[in-house]
Amino acid sequence: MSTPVVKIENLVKRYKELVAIDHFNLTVNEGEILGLLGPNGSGKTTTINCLLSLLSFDKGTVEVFGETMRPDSYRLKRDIGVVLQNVAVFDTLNVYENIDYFCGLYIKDKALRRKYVQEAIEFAGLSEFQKFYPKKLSGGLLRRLNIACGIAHKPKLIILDEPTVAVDPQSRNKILEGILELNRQGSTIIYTSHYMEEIEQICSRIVIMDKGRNLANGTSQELKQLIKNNETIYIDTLGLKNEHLTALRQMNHIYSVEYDQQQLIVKCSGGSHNLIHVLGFLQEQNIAFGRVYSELPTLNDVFLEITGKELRD
Amino acid sequence: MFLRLYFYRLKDILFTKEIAIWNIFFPIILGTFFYLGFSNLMNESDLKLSPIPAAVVTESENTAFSEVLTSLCEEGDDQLFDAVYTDLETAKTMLNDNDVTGIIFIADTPHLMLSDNGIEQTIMQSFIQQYCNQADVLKEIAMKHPEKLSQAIDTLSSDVTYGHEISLANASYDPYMQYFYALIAMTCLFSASAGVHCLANMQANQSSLGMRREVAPVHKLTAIISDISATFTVQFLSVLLLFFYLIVILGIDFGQRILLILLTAFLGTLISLMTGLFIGALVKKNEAVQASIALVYSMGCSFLSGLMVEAIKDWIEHTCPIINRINPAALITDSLYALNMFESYDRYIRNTIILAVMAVILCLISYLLLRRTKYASL
Repeated sequence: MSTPVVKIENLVKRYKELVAIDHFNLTVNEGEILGLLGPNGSGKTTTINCLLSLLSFDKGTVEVFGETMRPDSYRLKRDIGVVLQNVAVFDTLNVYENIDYFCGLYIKDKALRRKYVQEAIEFAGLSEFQKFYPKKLSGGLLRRLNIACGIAHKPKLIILDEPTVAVDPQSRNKILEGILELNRQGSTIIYTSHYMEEIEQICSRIVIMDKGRNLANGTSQELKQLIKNNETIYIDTLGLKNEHLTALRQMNHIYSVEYDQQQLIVKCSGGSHNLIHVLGFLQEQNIAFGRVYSELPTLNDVFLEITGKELRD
Repeated sequence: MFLRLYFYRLKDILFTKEIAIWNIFFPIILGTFFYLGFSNLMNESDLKLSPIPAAVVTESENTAFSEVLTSLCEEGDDQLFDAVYTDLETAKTMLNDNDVTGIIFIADTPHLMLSDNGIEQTIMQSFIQQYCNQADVLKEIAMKHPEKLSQAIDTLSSDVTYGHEISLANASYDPYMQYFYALIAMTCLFSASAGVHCLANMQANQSSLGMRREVAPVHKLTAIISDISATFTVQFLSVLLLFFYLIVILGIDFGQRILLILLTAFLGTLISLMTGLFIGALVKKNEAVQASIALVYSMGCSFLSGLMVEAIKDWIEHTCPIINRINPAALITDSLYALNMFESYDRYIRNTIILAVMAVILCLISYLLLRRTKYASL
């Protein structure tokens, strides 16, 4: 078995009384896009900062490419690309110069650097804005510049810490497509976000974090199978009586039935064709119904069930 | 790598508006105000130093001293004193009425009575002190090596020329020059704020840029030196620009030793930059707090060196001289003064060495504080 790209064991980070990271474990394998999902303050960025050896920690070990990560691990840092949560570019340098500056911290060869900078500009869709200064760029373009600065040197490991915060949907899609492309080109990626849709869209494996702990980890499907709720059915209807609700609760795979403001909400665990069975029951009882829809569980449901609170709380 | 970082940083600093305003335009504007305010006064003081009015009281016979004193009271270009020989009571009355600057007592050990501080009083003190020192030397030679006494007298006599020891004849010194010296010192000391900003851009706990740069595979020392070099270049250029403006445009006379003056400015800028780094490395607060401390430091040192009140530096020299020995602004102004006023380099060299040593110490401490830094919080 190959050496994990990142291995964090038993990591503990305290800020005085507050435990920011609580015995956190994480392994990232080569070629993965690992999503760190958690609400604000769950410890995602702190974990990344410990991983990059920016922050001191109280306990645990952090290894990158099989070696302990230290502030002066320059050889390891050469293979890591970092896109921080806050945009980190020089206001006084234009787009090309900014990318060239950061790429130059990793790549000494002038010709190769020039090639990489051009590729990064094209990758981020900034070709038309090469001479623009950051203050003249929109929020989305600025984020794309931030990403281009982080990945221009073609690192083996890319860490993206909430790269799409405050970005318009068009730029967000562009960024997510770009991340998938980087992965296809061979980079291992750690992606932190509190946007579950993004994580679900691009990550091959997901770690759910809260209060500095690794609550669950697996693919999107694996995580959803961890929870009881498999499907939620919503039906607008009139005239439901208590005996109808009781009968519904007794049906296979149904574990929760609520009727509120003329909407029936049925939650099912496992099984198939649940919607057909519920609608069949209503027809048998001659109960009219209007709009009908069914929702599969989301990562928010997973988070809700594990922590008892919404992901966006 | 170093040159790339240096030139990008140089561009970054040069295009930062605040630096242009505070480091380049503010000193030039202040210098212009000084010039407009003092120009008439400065022209008046271009006059040659007039003989110092002094009362002379004979306590006991001292032929040698009397002869020296008489020679310095003779009318001519080298006349140092305008002496009135009188009794003690009259002399005291004259001193109280400010008719004379001081009373010179002819005695076995000549001494002085002064009622105030100032250039003339300093000259009188210097004269008496030097006479006494040389008299002691001659006495000792006469006792131990009488055969070499005449040779010693010749040597010392050639040195007892006060008009040369204090080279007022070649310099256009006037008290208002002190303000321009202090202005130069203040401009050098502004580098402290630049040093703080420079470091903030390198520290993960101060800025996103610092965080981004700390995760890059660049040795901390390379990053620090390239950034400091670029910052220093801009700061020193701003001091050179100020010199150019003062000397060429306004016609302020800083004397003939331009290269040594620039060396002082170089060291002044360097020590201030190092102080800024030291503040940034030591004070675990945000950049705004660090910049405020650097500003207080710059303005405080400038105040103590006479930027706002000229007499304060002399007052410190008489009450707590160690402050003037460690205050970079005072060292800078004193070096410029010494270069302009004295032929001897002793005072200049002393100040230069102190500035250089302090800069090296601050640089080393800052590096030790910064290397291999991991932050407790970001």
